[in-house]
Amino acid sequence: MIYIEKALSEKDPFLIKGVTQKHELIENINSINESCLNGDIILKRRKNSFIIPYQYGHGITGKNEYVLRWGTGCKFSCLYCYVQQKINFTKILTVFADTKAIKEELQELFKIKKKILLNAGENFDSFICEKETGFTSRLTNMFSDFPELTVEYRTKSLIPENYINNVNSQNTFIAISLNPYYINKRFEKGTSDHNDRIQNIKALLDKGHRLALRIEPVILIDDYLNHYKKFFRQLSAEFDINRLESIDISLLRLTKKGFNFVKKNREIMSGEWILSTSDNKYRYFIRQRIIALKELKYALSKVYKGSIYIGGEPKNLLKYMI
Amino acid sequence: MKRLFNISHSQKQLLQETSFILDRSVESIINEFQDLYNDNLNSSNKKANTQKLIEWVFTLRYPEYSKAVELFENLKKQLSKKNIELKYDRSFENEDYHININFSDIKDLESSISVIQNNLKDLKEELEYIRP
Repeated sequence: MIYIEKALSEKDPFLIKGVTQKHELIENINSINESCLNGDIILKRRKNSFIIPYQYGHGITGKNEYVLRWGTGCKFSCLYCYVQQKINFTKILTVFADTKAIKEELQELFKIKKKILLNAGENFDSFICEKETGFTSRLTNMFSDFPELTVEYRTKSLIPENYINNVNSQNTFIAISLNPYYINKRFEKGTSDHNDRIQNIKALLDKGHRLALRIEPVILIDDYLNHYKKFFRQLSAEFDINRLESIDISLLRLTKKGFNFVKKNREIMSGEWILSTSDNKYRYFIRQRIIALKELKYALSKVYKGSIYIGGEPKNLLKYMI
Repeated sequence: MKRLFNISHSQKQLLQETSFILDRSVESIINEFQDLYNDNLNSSNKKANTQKLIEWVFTLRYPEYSKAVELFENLKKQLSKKNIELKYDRSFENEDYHININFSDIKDLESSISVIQNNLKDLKEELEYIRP
């Protein structure tokens, strides 16, 4: 069931047109939460701001992007996910489906910035409910009003055919978050089938969509390099990997809470986890990280000639990647 | 086992974690330690025995990290003989190393600088081990 805040549907009468499932308009949307079931979707307004600068953590490098906070909840069960470890985490999806408010915030931001990179998938999978709500399509249409804006969608979901075939965007790109088959099966329960997702990438490229790949989080299980090498070969065999705009590689890092969450998993715990004094997160010992990232980057560069970025690491590590 | 060691709660946690990661029983880990170091264990000094055991278990659980610590601690020990203090971030995340030299006169300072210079090759190797 999709519950839509009545005031939101009045503000944006076209919102309901994208909704493909049974829905109900609700006057007092906050009263609905307790009666919702997993898989239900709530569309409502947002009380606080949508766009904030990305918080990288002390000393961690990034792309100076902003984050669009347009939804909460996740139906997946990735073992390592920090979102799931939050106290108020829910599998009920809430979409703050207010394109007008987002547009206003962008207009304000463009008064002080010439160009903006907006991450629209940092804490909410960008396509997790596109099939049911059509809201990502609406966002993409709205973003087209801002030629100096670049939007990164990020997803572990299958992109619906409707989006693949009917949406055409110059200033958005979809970053597909994908891991080797084994890691996906072991640690990313509930996400779409690995091979279906590769077919999905092919279909997106065929239709001319801008795509990037996020290989994250890399988990240093035994024999990880062979799993990743096989994965790179698989990608390269299935489609023209050089059509991807960029590929990011990021190793798993865990908050203290997240670390306790995975403590019972031997495969994850087998790495040498050290509590970093710089950002208070557990990371693989820096030697292991440098060796792994160098090996992965080298293996990937055999099949991919585009830009390979290392994410979530301090500057002092990146200089060893050259 | 009880006669030789006095294992605290946090030490027990490290043992259990190592046993879990290596898929070996705690008992087999302790037995291996005893086989290796039997001659150095003294039933009248449980504290020292336990310290040795835990240090050894730590190297099983964190082989690469403990090697880095060992390299730095050895260098630190070497330098401290000449009143030179080496400070480093124990997580090795920060490239932030400090050397303090305590000296009374120029001769003393020259001697300390010479010790540092003699250890530069080792330091270079240690830094390369941590960030290969």
